[in-house]
Amino acid sequence: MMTHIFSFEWLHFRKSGVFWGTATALPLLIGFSLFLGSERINEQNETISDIIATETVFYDNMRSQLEAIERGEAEVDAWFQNPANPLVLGQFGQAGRHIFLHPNPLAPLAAGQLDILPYYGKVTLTTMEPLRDNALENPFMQVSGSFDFAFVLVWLVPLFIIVMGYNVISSERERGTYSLLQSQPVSMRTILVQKMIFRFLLVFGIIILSLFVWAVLFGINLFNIQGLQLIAAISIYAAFWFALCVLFNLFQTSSAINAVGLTGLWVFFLLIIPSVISLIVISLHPVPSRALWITEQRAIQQAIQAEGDAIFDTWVVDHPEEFVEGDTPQFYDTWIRRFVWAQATEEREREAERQFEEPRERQAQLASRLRVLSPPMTLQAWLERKAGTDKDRLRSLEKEMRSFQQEWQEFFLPRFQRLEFFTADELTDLPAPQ
Amino acid sequence: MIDIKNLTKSFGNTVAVKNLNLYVAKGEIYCLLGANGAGKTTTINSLLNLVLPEDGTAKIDGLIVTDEPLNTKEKLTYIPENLALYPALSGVENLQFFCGLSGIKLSDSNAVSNLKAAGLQEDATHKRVGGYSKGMRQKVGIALAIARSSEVLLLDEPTSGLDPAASSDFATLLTEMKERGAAVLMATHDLFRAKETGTKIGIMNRGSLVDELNAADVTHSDLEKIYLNHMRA
Repeated sequence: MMTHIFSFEWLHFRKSGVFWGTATALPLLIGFSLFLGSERINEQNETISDIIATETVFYDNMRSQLEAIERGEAEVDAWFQNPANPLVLGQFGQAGRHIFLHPNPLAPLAAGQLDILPYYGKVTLTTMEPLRDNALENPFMQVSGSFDFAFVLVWLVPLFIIVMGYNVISSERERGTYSLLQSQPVSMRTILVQKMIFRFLLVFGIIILSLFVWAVLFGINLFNIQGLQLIAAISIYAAFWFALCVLFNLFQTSSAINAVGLTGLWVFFLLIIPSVISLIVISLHPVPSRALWITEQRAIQQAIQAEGDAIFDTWVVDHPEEFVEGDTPQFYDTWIRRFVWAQATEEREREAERQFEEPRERQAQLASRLRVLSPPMTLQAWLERKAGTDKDRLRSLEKEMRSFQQEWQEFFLPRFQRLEFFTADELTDLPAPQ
Repeated sequence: MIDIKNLTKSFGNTVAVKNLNLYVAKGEIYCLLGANGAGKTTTINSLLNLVLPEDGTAKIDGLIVTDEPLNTKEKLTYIPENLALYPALSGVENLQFFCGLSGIKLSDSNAVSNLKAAGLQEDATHKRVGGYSKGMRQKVGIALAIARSSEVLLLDEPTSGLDPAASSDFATLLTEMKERGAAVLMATHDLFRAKETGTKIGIMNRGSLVDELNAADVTHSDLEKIYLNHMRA
């Protein structure tokens, strides 16, 4: 029976504009989204390669210069030109290391928070600068915005499913074929379910086929466990929307009511629930404003400036072994103070930051729990997690930068504090991020 | 073949069918006459298990409809007043689809020969049903009965709206079905067609079968008089 209904549904669909519309529009939308996604990630990879190359050239030049100085073939006039100076190697100009969150294999599928949160940053002895592509560096960010496969799947596919499934039974009633079907030795429920299964397979097949064909063309590898997980997620999501269509077809309602009702559910799951969740989360765990945080930072910096000498004197008393007394160059006196103040500023800022971060963490936890109320939100979050473009991963950049900065400081600061300069051989072993 | 005993069905306070007893044997065309609301369609719907009787039973070939709805539907073909088909499909494709629902696979040539046997012209069989007249669609219904070798035909005012020639063609087809041994129950307002085609005529009024006649025993004018007397009673 199933084969029979499938073959006639196929016959019917071949003669229907709805099918040809879906079979044309869906692959084009998926192809366009993957094109934009793969271009975005290509640009991202190019940015990363360019930065790594620049960084490598910089430290290679430093080493060559130092070798020339050691051989007596070159001289330096000023301390800030000396490639053996820990400050020159760890702090000034192009010195420092970049930390990257390399794109995941599925990154072209979901832009996620890439347009808001940075995916790389530069670390020096005293600074941490999170960076991201802007429209000038990466015009695809401007063209694509958030038009990615996740958007097509989460937002647009349900509309195609509604178009395919809203009137399976109501159209029979409106066409007049319902009474003839009712007189057949097959239950209407069987006919409804089998017709829906066929339409599900049709939409699912179009999505998967388009996804894999375009993915191969754009060099995105989906022939792995992640590809299988993606197929499973797509099938569950499509089944959810088809199940809603089945539900509406079980009522004796007209096609118009079904269409309005299903579109209403689309609005409910994709717009209303997220807004309500956002309202609940903001109301229960309000986060102090950003302006307040900036004011707090300024207050800390002013306090450090005011207490500058006292802070440094205390540090000298506490760390006599890390400080060279006597006839030291002027840059040493200036920079040893700056490092001490930077450390004090960071300690105070980290403590103040907690009052801003904690409510944000609670917000994120609550939002994540409430997200299950909306399958589209759940799928979007899952896709972003798989693509590595979710908030949590991008926020982890700051943690990674902080951790690497500690390593960088541990390498350079003791040498600076003891005024010990580097040799060319030592430059081959500079710390680098994992 | 069709055996209705003490069938009663109400919709709210309205009694649609009251204590109905009716039997249609193989090779018999039973025409059910009555005004609108007399209970003819409710009787047919009871045989299709589309309405559940409050009392009594409806049987097809010995099977109680409410107990074995799918098995009884395998034995019958139903042609409503306005037989609607899938307009984008051809007559052949529609016939193949509905036959397939009964588990009968029809090749294109078999479908064409069944449609031709039902009186449809060969060149129309592969055309979209959207362009068919009502009479042509009714013929597809008859072709369905022929293809499925239905033992029972339930017809709900199948000739209403047909022109006299189409109505006459349809009556001829029904006679052929009767000769093949089918039991035909036809609800109709057409006294002339009932007398011409039917073997038995039942008159329903306000849900009850008020009279039952052998078509051969009455003339057209007698039938009209009897019918009107019952309606005015």
